[in-house]
Amino acid sequence: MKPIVVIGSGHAGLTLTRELRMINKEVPIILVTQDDGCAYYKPNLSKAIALGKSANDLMMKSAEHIKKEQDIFIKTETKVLSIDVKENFITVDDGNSVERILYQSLVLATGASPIKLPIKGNAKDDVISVNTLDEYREFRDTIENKERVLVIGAGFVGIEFASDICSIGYQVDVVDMEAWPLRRSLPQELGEAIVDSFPKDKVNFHFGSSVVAVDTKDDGYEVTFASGEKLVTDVVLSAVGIRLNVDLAKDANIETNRGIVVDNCSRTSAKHIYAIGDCAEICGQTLPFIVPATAAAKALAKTLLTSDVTELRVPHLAVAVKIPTCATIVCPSLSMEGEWKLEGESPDFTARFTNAEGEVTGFALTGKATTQKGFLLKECVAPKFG
Amino acid sequence: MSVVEYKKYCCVTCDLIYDEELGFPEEGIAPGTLFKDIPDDWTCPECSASKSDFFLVE
Repeated sequence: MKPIVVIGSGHAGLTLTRELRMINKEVPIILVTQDDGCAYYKPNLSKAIALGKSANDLMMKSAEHIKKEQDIFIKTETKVLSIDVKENFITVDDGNSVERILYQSLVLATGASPIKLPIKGNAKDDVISVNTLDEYREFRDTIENKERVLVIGAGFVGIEFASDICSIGYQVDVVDMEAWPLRRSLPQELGEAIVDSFPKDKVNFHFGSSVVAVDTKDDGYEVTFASGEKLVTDVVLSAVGIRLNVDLAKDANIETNRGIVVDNCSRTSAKHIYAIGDCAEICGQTLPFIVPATAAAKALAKTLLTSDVTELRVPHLAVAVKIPTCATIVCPSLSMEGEWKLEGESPDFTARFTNAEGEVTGFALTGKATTQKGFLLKECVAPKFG
Repeated sequence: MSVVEYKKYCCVTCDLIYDEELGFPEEGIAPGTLFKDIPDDWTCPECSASKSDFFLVE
């Protein structure tokens, strides 16, 4: 029997292999990953410092453990070179040899990578991003014995890092092109409540600005903003968003757009090939969050191993943004059509994203209003695919 | 009166622990609530995994 082959050992890939094995004890499963294959919860990377957790503390299971527990093959530190969609095999390189792996079904769970800004300067290569457990380990080493960190980007990851780092005494600067943090997920009043909650003596926000150059200066870096303003810091952390990893699919002439294009059953344009998790664009939507990845993995496991083709149903996702000084919960709207309706007083806001028909398609809560999460989730219309 | 032996359950996705002794008061689950008595549609407050994705910590 040809195996089910899964590429990627992030949350989507590992949830899928676990679900497959729960349904069927016999089917051979091969997981191919370019890293060490251990399991960790990626959202923890931007909130683990205040909790005093090292990279090792964040590792939930090693690849060896997962191999035994799920009874699967895991090829670690292995790069997938290409997919042959006609003959149904992939070509992989583990650093020692290049081999072909035949598949009955192939699942792409290749995730996403941090966007690299076009920054100039002699230290532009020292700008770091933290998107993997290894990068978190390096980041912890980098900030050791330093005092100042500049965070580029005030989205989910950037604002959490700023909060996490300032809580253990670092001087933090945050720069973002937008006028307030989490600009795409909540209205200005909530953004300002978040900004006001940060300790003024520890965190400086630079909104409506961007970094154009990073150069070495004394022991640290001199950062130049688009306005010409300059600032000196010890560490530059970039968190300006992600680019979905579609190249492998694209090279195999599988349809891609922002993500790997799939229908509501995770099927790509190529027969026997599927995509789940951050890399997938489901009926035109990309949803780089844990909940949709879990839902897609569970539905796909059923599709692959039972006679039911299972459609994806994504429950509403309420994402808690870890800013201890200002509790924040965001439920992103899938549709950008609509407007914010605001209730409450700073910092306790309830904001509903409402479409022309008056339906609530998303919301954001800050402060004490976050206790209303359950009610708001019930008010929201369910996301639809296809 | 018998002494209740509280257990702990761990979320397979995010490692969050549900401790029966502590409950999750901020989620409306009182201290001392046994895992089996939590509603089936309850989800992990951290990552929204379903109740069935929790395993008993031995």
